[in-house]
Amino acid sequence: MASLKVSELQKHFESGPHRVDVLKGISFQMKGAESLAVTGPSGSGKSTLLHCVGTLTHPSSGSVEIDARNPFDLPEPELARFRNRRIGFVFQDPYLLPQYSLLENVLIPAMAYSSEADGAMERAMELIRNVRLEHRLHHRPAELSGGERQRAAVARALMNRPALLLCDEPTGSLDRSTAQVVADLLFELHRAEENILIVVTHSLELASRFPTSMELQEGRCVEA
Amino acid sequence: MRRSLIYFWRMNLAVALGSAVTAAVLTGALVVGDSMRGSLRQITLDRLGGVDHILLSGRFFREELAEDVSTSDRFRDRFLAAAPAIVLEGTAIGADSERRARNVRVYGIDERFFEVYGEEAESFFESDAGDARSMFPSAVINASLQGRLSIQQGDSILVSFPQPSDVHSEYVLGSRDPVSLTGAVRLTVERTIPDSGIGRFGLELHQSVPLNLFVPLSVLQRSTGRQGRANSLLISGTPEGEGGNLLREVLREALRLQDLPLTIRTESADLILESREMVIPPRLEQTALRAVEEQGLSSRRVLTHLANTIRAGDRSIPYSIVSALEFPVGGDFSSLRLTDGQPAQPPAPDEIYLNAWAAEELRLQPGETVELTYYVIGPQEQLETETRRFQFKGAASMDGLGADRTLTPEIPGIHEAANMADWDPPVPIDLSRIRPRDEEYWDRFGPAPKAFLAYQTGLDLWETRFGRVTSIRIDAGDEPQDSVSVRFRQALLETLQPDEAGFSFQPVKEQGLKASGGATDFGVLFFGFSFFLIASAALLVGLLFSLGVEQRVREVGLLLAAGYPLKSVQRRFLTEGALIAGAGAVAGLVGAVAYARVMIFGLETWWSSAVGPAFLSLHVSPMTLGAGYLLSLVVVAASIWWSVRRLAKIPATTLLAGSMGGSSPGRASGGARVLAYAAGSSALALLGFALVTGATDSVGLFFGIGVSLLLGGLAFFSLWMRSRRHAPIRPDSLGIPLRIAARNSARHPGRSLLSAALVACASFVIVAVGANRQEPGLELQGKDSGAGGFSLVGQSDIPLPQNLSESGGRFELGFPDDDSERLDGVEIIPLRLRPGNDVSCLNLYQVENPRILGVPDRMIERGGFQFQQTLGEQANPWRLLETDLGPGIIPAFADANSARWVLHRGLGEELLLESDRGEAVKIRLVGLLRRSIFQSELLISQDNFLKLFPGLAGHSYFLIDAPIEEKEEVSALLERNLGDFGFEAESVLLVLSNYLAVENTYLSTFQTLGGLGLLLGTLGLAIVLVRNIMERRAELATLRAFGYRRSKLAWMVVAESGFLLVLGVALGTASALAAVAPQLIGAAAPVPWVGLAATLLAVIVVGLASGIVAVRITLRTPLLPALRAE
Repeated sequence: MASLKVSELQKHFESGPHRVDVLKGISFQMKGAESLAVTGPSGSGKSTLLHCVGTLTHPSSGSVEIDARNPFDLPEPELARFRNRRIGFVFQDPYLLPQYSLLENVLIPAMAYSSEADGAMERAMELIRNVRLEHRLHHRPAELSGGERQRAAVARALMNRPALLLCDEPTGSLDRSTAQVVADLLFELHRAEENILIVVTHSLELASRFPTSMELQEGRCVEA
Repeated sequence: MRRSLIYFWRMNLAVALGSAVTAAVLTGALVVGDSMRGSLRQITLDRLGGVDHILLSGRFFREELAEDVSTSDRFRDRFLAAAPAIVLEGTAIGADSERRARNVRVYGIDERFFEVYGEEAESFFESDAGDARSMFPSAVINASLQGRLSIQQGDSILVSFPQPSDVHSEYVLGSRDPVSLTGAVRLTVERTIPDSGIGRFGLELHQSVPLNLFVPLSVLQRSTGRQGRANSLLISGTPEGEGGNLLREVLREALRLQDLPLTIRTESADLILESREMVIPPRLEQTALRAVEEQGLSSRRVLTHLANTIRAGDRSIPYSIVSALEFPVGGDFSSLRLTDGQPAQPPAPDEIYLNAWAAEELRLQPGETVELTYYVIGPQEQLETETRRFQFKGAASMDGLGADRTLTPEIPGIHEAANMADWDPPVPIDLSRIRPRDEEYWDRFGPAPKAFLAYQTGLDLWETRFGRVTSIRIDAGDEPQDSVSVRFRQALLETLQPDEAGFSFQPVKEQGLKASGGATDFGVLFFGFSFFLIASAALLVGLLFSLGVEQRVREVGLLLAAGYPLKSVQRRFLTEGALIAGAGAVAGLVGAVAYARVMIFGLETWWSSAVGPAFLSLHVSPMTLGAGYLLSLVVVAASIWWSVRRLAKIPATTLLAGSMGGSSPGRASGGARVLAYAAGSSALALLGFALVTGATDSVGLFFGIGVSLLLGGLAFFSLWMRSRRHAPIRPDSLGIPLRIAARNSARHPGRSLLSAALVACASFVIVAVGANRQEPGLELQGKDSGAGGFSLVGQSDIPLPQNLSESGGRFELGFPDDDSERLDGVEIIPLRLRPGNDVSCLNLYQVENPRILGVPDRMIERGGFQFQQTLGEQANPWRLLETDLGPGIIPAFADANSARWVLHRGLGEELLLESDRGEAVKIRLVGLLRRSIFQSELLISQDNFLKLFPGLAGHSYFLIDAPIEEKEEVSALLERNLGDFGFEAESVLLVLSNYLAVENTYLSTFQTLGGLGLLLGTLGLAIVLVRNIMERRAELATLRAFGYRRSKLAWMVVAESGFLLVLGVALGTASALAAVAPQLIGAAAPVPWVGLAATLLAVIVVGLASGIVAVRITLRTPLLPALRAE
């Protein structure tokens, strides 16, 4: 079963002569099939926390262990491979590649290491069915609605069966009903895949659906 | 605006640099044109000095004519000085070095020359003929001749030249003796002068340095046997307006009978006008008859000839003079009276009178048959014997015309002989046939004719291109002969127009300065060569400026949102752009001079085959700089406007979001689909047509196929990018990176299409140009090649009257038997040459008076060579030269390249030419030869040649068909035996290589500059790449989030750019190869594939390298911020 352990995570940025402390010692741990909502005001460090957990940003101190392994110990190429195999992302903007069809967009994570992508087509088709977009298989992103694009982004994030699904404001740019549909889908697939789900959101409505939530203020966890 | 300019200084600097490159290349190309024109102008002024007009005559005249002309009041009003000179072309041989130089310009000059040229004469010739210090007369040579002969000061040289002769060597009684045709003088080289100023003096329009040799006028007068005479008159002055007409008038007034080849004899009852040339030139004959008529006098024409035999039955008389007389109605001529005292009646065409002596000798009775045997000139210009039968009409008494030796002009070798046995005429005679009775006749009557024909009969037998009258006898009537003589002489000179006697002034300086505009405008040429460089630089400016606009896209959005009108925002950016571009272009003007310097350096080194030895100097005109500046500003401004124009299509909200929008490929338009299929199928149809019909040289087909294929290919690429039915890329697909790259290129179809089109167009030009580069090789052995199946081309300074192809001719030329036999199997076709300007691409001047070759019937029958175009289809296109195009129009061939680039004439077009007799004729191009050895001249039939230039004797151009393996030996043999004639044989391969070198050099220049443009274009691609990356930062960050390594992302982006690059190169290359395919198949000449492939590979490598650098720089900035939701 997947596991995540975040210990005393700190992150600061240098801005000229000044140092900006974004995360000031965040600790928590989770295991497979668990989910967490991270809330807090703008600039509280939510996205940075997500990026550190998602190995996109190196923490200044503290550690992140995924499946009892600190991915930051890995050299850059291995870290990229690790992220590809173990972590999935959904961003506020789906960032689908406009020149590719929906199917190809979902396949993008599998194509990063195509030699290891046995059964990728079947998996993609399964996910597309699961997000109910099978009728849009060969459509380009420009031909999809906002909700459909975000569902496609969810399918893409789950392509490589990640242990960790990280979502940064996944419904932030959607209307309420569409946001509801996407959130339902996220939870449905989270339950089905039994991964660890962390969602960063401003939406209290969405956060309220999570069994666990964490509020960040000025880089610290004020409520869990 | 000032703050914006400063704040975005990096981007603005880049735009300014792009603008500077545009201005530098564009203006630089124009400066090259200025420099070429300026240099040619400088050479013209340098070589002519103060000489403005030149009279160059085929005949010698009194050297005092110069003084007579220059002392005229009218002359002094407009001109400064006149100088006589002898100008010849010959061969020089270094006595010690034994090195030989052909085409040496030999000038006989004296102090008057320096007055005209405008230089100090002192110490030019320190010693004159007979100087004790040197064994031979002095000569001054220029450095080029010294180099050619490898001689030093004090060395002696032997100079041979065509010996002037009064009687034309091709006239039936002219001398064909090689010795008499060649003059020679041994000289001591007194000093060498530089190849500038007088050292460069010359009348030919060519940028190369002539081989000049100057000797004192008196020396050359002695050597040519023309004491006190000259063949050229040089005039200096700065006449305004029409100086030529004034000079002609002054000359007409100054001409004396002694300047003409005419003499007046008064030793008979009639006044007799004769010519030193034995026959009176036709135009002078007409002038004389006009003068006779104006003076109210009567005249009769006489044509006298030498008969080898007058035979009646078994009796004959050897070597007799026969005269054909006009029997005019009226006039009291000293008449031909018969033995019965009656005046002779005009004979019928088949009737002949003999004088009493001859009639008695042959014991003739009226009505009996008389045979006349005489020499004529055959079709190959060889002496032939003809016999004609007449009916004896009567015997003339041995007085009056019956025994009048003045009917016979002075025949060299005969007239001065005391006895017939001493005859040494220019034609072969058998002295053993001369009997004592003949000597008696000679003693009593000298060269008095023994037979008389009607004048018209004489014309039928003996009229030649040199004339139809040996004398005009004018009836003095009762008036004293002296008085008639004075009256007639005056009337003749007043009636005579100088050009009728072959005296016409050429405004050489005016012609030279006009021609220094150049056969090709090098400004336009280098503008064309630099086109891709200019286009790439302009595109670069546009792309850089777009990048700058994109950097400030939020600012634009804000201004629009704040209520600024779009036009005002656009104007603001345009003004900024114009200021930046203007500043850059100012710097570019300095670069323009540097660019021009580099191009000139290139023309004098790498591309020297195109323009010859170094002569170019930089000429910068403020006007050109101004024009270049404005032109480049317009180009750059247009490019900037194109960037700013896009703002109108983007909503303010999109701009405020920091986007330029438009990232989604649209649907393919119906027009693109139609264009793709129409262009593709028309390319295939045209290609098929070209291959089936063999139309290998059509420019229309070349562009038709090439442009159709290029357009079709680009339209298909556009359709593909906008297609929704791409084969899906799956993890198990083959060539995923390439497929991803190809698909990524569809992200911005317009941008990708533009990039691919630029590369494709440049590649098209580079390949098409490169495939046209040809090196002469084995294909030249064919009769239908540019060499016509000949292996050698020979030229001689002194025309040969003898036929080299025949052993008889070679014997007369002094070939030893062994050498002559060696040539038995070698076909040599002699052509006549009228000297003129070189009209090949080797000559940079815009010339009008070309060298002309007269093609003999043998060559016309033989055919051969390859034609690019002909007027009318014929099995043997050479027959077109025999076409009658009406009066005053002569059919001619030219090499296609010379016609197009130097003469600027096409098939069927005409150029004007002046004949020997001063008549203007039109030369119409009826055939264009393809890459032939005849690029320096025009070809007309020999018949027409002789009509236009009757005064030119012999052959000085030879096409030699020797087996390839023997050509060296044949060449050496001919040069050895014909050295005195200045004969030189060159391999056709070398001749064609020299011509092709020009063509290939221009192609190289175009390729080099086109390649540079393409390289600059690849920088544009790199900028496109940077823009793509900046636009797609969030997508790339997403891919990073999904585990794509940075290197993989870089590779994907570079591969996308590489895909466009390779696609463009492939499309351009394929289109170019298809376009030139028919031509390549037709030419069967090797194409420099390796060089072409290397150029294209270099373009791809540099393109990829610049892409990699761009990607590395761009991807160095963190991508993750693009993913932040806040």
